[in-house]
Amino acid sequence: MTKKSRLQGLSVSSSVLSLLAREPEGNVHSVFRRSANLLLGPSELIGLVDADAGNAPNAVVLQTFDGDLPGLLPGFLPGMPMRCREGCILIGDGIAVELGGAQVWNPDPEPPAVLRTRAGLAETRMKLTEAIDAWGSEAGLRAAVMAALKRDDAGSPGLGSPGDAGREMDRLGQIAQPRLKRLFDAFSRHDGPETLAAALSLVGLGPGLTPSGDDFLAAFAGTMVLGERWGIGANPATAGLVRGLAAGIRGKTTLAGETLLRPALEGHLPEHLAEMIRELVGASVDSSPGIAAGCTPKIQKVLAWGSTSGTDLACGTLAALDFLIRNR
Amino acid sequence: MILAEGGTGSGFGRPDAPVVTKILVRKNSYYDSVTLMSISTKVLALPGVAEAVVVMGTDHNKELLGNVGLLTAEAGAAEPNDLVVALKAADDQVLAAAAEAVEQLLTRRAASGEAQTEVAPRTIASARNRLPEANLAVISVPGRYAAREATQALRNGLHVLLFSDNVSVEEEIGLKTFAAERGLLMMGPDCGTAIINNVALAFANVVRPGNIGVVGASGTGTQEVTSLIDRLGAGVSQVIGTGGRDLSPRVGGIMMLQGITALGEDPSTAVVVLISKPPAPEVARKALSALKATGKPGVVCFIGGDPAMVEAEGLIAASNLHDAALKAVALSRSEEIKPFAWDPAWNLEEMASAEAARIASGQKYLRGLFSGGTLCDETMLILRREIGNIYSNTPLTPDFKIDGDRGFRHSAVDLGDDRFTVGRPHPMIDPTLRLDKLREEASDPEAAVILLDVVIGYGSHPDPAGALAPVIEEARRKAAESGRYLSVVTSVCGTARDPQNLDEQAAKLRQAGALVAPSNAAASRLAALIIKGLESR
Repeated sequence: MTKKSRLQGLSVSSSVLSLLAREPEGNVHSVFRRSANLLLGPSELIGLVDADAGNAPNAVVLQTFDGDLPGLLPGFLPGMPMRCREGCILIGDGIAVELGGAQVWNPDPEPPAVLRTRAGLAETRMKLTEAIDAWGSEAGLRAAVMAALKRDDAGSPGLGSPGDAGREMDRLGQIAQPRLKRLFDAFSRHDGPETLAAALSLVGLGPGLTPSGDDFLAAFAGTMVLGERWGIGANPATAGLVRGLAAGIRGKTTLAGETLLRPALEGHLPEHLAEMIRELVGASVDSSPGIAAGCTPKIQKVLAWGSTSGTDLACGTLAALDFLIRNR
Repeated sequence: MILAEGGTGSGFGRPDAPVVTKILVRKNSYYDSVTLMSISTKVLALPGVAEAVVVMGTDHNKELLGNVGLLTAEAGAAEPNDLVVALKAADDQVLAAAAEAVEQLLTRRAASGEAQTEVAPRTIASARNRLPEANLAVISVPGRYAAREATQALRNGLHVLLFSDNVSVEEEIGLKTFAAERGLLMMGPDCGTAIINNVALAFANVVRPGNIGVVGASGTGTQEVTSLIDRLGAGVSQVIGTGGRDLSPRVGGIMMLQGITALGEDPSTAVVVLISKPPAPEVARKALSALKATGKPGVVCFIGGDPAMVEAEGLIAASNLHDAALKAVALSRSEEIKPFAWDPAWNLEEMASAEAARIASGQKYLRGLFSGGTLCDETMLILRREIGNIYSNTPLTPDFKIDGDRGFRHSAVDLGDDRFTVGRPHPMIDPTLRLDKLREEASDPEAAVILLDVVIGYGSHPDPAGALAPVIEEARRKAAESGRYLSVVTSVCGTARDPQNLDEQAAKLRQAGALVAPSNAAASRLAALIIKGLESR
């Protein structure tokens, strides 16, 4: 018999709150070491995560999670029914997640007070490249992104020399690299249809519950959307890319991939990623002594995410920065 | 649950090599990406497994499977939320073993709710959550990232021992200031030795608890003093490392001052010992003043520094590391402080005289090969008083810098210097370089005495004397075959409770024909006496 327990929500995204206000019913979709997913209806996923994971557009952060100690969600099993009543998520017959005292997290990140200059952006882009090179996962799309970003003699996309462009690619990289190149070429030409076609060829591609291609695209599109919203630069192909992906991803990837990608197309990114982007494009300088060392805490937070997800997300932001710099 | 299974497929790798494939599909199965990557890596490592692809069944991943010849009808029928495991192996037996391994790994994860496997924390914050009672972080990462990690640790309320080097002086000042404002210790960068609450950190020895507190800017200097304190029957309360650059004018001894204050406030510390190369005068004055202000008796070993400056503050100056230990122990026992003298019980004169008598007429030089930088410095200072200046890669004065790697006249080489450690472990960890140098120096017909330090304890090679012994024997045998006598003088820095065991290490060296002195200072004195014996012939 399930032991009765009450878990306190620390914060909840405003979009999840709106969803739960309809008092939906569903079930526990999946249970992991530090999180669990609830499935509402056919395709709405809500994550219950620990504070270390941070806020996300689809997430509730639980106060009771204690870092990465084992046994974070005792009693949670996939398939258990869940329902929502009066600000409380009820799971099975013994678990209640209280949202009454939870802070509401707005997935629309605040723009930085002051934006970096073009030279400043180039500098932080280099910092991100170095951090990915030193700390990033070697699996996923990293090598393919770096190779595709490398500027060739014809002046194809890319500023400077990305880190491990010469690194040998695995099969995923060999498949992904020409698709990424096609995406960057089309995007640099402001060719909307071709950009969308290239992006769709990456949806659902690669390892992971959120496949690498989804991680990359979420960060690429999300960074472009935020960059344009914050007045850093604009690319006419962004709007079409966002609209087209929103319409075209259903059934092309996993539920988790779609749950990450869909809000990202509106600039709603996981908190750690959004914070990293704000740091990279904002001119405010963190006075902590570690900043000068290269890999900032915010970059590190993103790179430490999952197996390849963090690196793929960082690569997406890196690619978007290239285009934002060119339009700055 | 295996829902689908493929048959023998076409060749992979070598075109003519028969291979078989198997596809496992789990409907609506969810594992985190770390788990999936881990399964893929583990299965691929099995002998005979040519391919192990673990992906979700999206269209583009099926295309990926097709690209490696693994898109069977079963895999093709998978949907985006299905887990697909595609295996390719040399034969059916290997394939069955691989499939079984996958099943076990997936089942284990599912049964555990993903929660039972111990996973190393990936951030300082999560490590802190894992071990909430922790109050200190030992950080050893590439220098460019070290300051960032140290900052994280300090922000999490942890004291820091920063083993990394290649941290800029600006970062060091920033970190130490940041830590000092929060009442935290920031030991390092490039701090290799500390003992906090009786726990040895990095390169340190198993020293009994006691009432002597040490603040050291020198790793092997601190190891030598604390080991000798133990061997003299006393013990240490806390040993705080500062990093070698702390007492420079720019850093200003931030950590040394904080360490002194901490030991001054520590009720278990009755005596405070400072160990360092001579600091900048203004920094030395601040440190001595702070030590005096604690009101506790203090012993100061600024190796090669001016004792008058120390004594002017009413503190006790030590002339070498052995002297520092002797005086600290005497103070801790409220015994009379005696001037340093070479103990007749060590029989240095007799041993030197006997050795000198056996050395052939053409042999005249001393060659020191050191793993500890401070021990090398101490030796050069002692030898300079006895036999004149010594050549070195880290000389006391620039005029005596060695050109190249080989010993020259009387010389002492610090093999732990950056020049020798690029791309290879420190000689305290890996003796290979020193063994090569030992063979090289011993083959010089003018070499009379080889002087070696042997540093044991945590972090050091598991059996440094055992590694040196056969080479010492070989060198002495070859010398004898060419009508020479090679005197090998050593000391062991460590204690009987160190993992390598002081007594066993000393016995191995003696067995190989080396002389083993009770300290580096004594070994240096012994070597000097041998050379003086040769010069007086």
